[in-house]
Amino acid sequence: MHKLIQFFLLAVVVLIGTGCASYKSDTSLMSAMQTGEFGAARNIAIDSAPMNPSDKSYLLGRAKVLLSSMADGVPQSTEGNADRLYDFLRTQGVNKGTGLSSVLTSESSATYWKGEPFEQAMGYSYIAAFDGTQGDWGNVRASSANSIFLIRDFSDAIKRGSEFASEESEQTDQQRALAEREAIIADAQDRSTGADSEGETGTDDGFEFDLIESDFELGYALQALASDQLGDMTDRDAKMNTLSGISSRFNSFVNQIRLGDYNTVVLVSYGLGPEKYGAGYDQVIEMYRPRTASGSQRLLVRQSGESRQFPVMTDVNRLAIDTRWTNFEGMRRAKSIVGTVMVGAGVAVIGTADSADEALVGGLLAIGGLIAKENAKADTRHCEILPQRTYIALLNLPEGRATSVEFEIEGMPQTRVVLPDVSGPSDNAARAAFHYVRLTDGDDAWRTMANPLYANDTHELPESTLPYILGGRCMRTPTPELMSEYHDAGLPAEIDFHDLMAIYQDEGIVIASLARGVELGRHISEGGNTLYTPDPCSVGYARLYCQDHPPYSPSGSLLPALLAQMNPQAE
Amino acid sequence: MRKQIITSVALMSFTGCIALTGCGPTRARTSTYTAADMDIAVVEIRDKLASSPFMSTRSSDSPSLVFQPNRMENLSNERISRVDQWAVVSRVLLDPSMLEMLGSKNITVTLPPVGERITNSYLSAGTDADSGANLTFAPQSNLLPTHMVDARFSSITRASSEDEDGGLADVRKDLFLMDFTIFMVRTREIVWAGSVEFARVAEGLLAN
Repeated sequence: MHKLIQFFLLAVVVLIGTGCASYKSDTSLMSAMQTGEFGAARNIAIDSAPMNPSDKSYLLGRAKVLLSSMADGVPQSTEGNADRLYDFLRTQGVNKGTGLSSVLTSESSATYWKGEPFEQAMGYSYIAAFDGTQGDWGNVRASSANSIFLIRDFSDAIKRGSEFASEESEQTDQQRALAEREAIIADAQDRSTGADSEGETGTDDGFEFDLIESDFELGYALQALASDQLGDMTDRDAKMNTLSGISSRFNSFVNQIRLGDYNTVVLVSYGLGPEKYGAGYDQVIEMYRPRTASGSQRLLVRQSGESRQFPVMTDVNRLAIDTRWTNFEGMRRAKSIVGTVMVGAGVAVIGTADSADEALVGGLLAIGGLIAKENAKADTRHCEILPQRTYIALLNLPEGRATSVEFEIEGMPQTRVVLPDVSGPSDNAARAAFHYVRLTDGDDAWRTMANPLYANDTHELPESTLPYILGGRCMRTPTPELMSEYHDAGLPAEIDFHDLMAIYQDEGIVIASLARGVELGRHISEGGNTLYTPDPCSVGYARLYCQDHPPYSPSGSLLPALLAQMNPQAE
Repeated sequence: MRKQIITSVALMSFTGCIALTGCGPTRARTSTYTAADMDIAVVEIRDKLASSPFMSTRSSDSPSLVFQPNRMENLSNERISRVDQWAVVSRVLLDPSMLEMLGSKNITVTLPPVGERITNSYLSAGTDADSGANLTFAPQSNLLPTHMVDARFSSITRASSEDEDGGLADVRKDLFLMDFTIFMVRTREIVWAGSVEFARVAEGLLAN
């Protein structure tokens, strides 16, 4: 009998030990995103993203690639991810019918990640930003329109449910958020035992709520801008009125749109979004805690001696802690309760067993109960590289001419970045340009360098220079026209364009502009195999061109031979 | 007896929980347009253009015209990828039978460089066997467009809950309208316009 119990206890330990592991945020990815090393972040995101579309976290991986690529200034390499993410977000009820497997396994093993409502809204916004960088304002409006959906207000449920919860006079934001969630669940439980609902309210899974308009500021702002660009002034005005109604801090922003006082839109983000964890009994309640503290500091943008300020558009920490932006999953609580009942019953049966068969039944019940409780834990998958906050800067930049633009968050000098080659829309462009800048903390010299140290597809150096792979400072896409400059800089006259391209090919270097539609790897100056020029209005641009890089390390045979010919003394 | 009751209660709880999670019938989960919707719309637009008075009054002896399509402008609530925006206009004008018909009316089609590049990538990707692969484009030089072909995609969206007591939206319907316009560059006179409508309905929580 004792051996049987020992066997069951051992089985329980093994089962729990091999049970569902909670989601672990990718610390290396977060670290790279926090330090502005977006090239490394993009590589990490690409390498860790599930390749199989049937993987339950497939779209979470794609979302991370999209975010890191946008931050690195290479949105063109991630169009496929934007397409896939949009199609998935637009698919309704993706987890309908997965309830049975949710009972038998953990939620993260059974359900597709689609994110909490605020993550979905942010996902749509990033897709809108991607489309903005491609100059497609129609798609910006479509995606931002989808980010504004009705949300659930549980205020009444919180009041009623609070009667069942203990009162605490002083609570932190986290304690208050947990108390609100417990109150909502308590209210739903109370209602399910007989109370009838009254009034025009909605119900889902026993929860009672009022449907209210979204307060997702970023969605309204992007839609207002897109409608402005498309000439739909009725829609623009409606969205601007809503934005002003949410907060008076947007009044000057709205006025600037109304006056048409901009030709360039820059979506700016900062910080890391909140961390998701399980709280409450059996950790069934999904909660978020900040990684980067919230703040109301304005964004400062300096250009041509002029400085402008822009308010925080959306605080992701606020959304994450707000019950209106959270899903409530009744199944987890049911599993927890059932699991508790089964464990209790199993222990009772074992304790009073008269035979090995009875103890076996009790043991199985207890094991099943423990598994159910373990699987009842909250699904803590989340996009750990969402920003903590966003801003939208509306600028007037010279059309088709590069100028220096500085971004900095008020009172946070460590966030300052100087982007030396930003230009407004191309000459005669009918619509505004769109860029994305992700600010980070740091004191690297490249963040504030006034001029690029390397030539690239949008910046030329005053003197002729060799290609970077030959020890020079040219990171431009090779063209026949560049050959005379290379020859002036010391390239042997007998080396023509085709010879140079053969060397790039021999090195395995992917030239982005000649390989459209591929997911770009790291830049050759950072140890990668890709030659590309990021958006000049991106932190990736400053990081690549505003600091010295170590010499290129050849991997083929043609380049070393040419280098030896050019520098015989180095042999 | 007591143990049997406890055991039964626990097993019933577990079984009941599983039973509650039964699957429902499979229904459309997204109201976004499908490739088939676009196929049908393109064929319909093509037929309308071919049978239009503008075309029927022309012959090989008519003055030479050059059509240049623009990327389809998206005014809908649905995102359309850049490739699809070019693919729709391309498939209307670059279908072999349409090109043959246009040629017989002394009309040449030319694409702006960006459109040609994207359309080429679309065609070379082998998206559709009938999409007109292996097409050649008119050379860009000396072919200034006399007419522009504009296409717009718009939609009306409604989302609601099937639950009589209200609740999160779980039904969404999108009515799509695709309209084409051909206008003379010099005078901006519209010489032809045609449109197609189709709708899509999907069920399931929008937030899930």
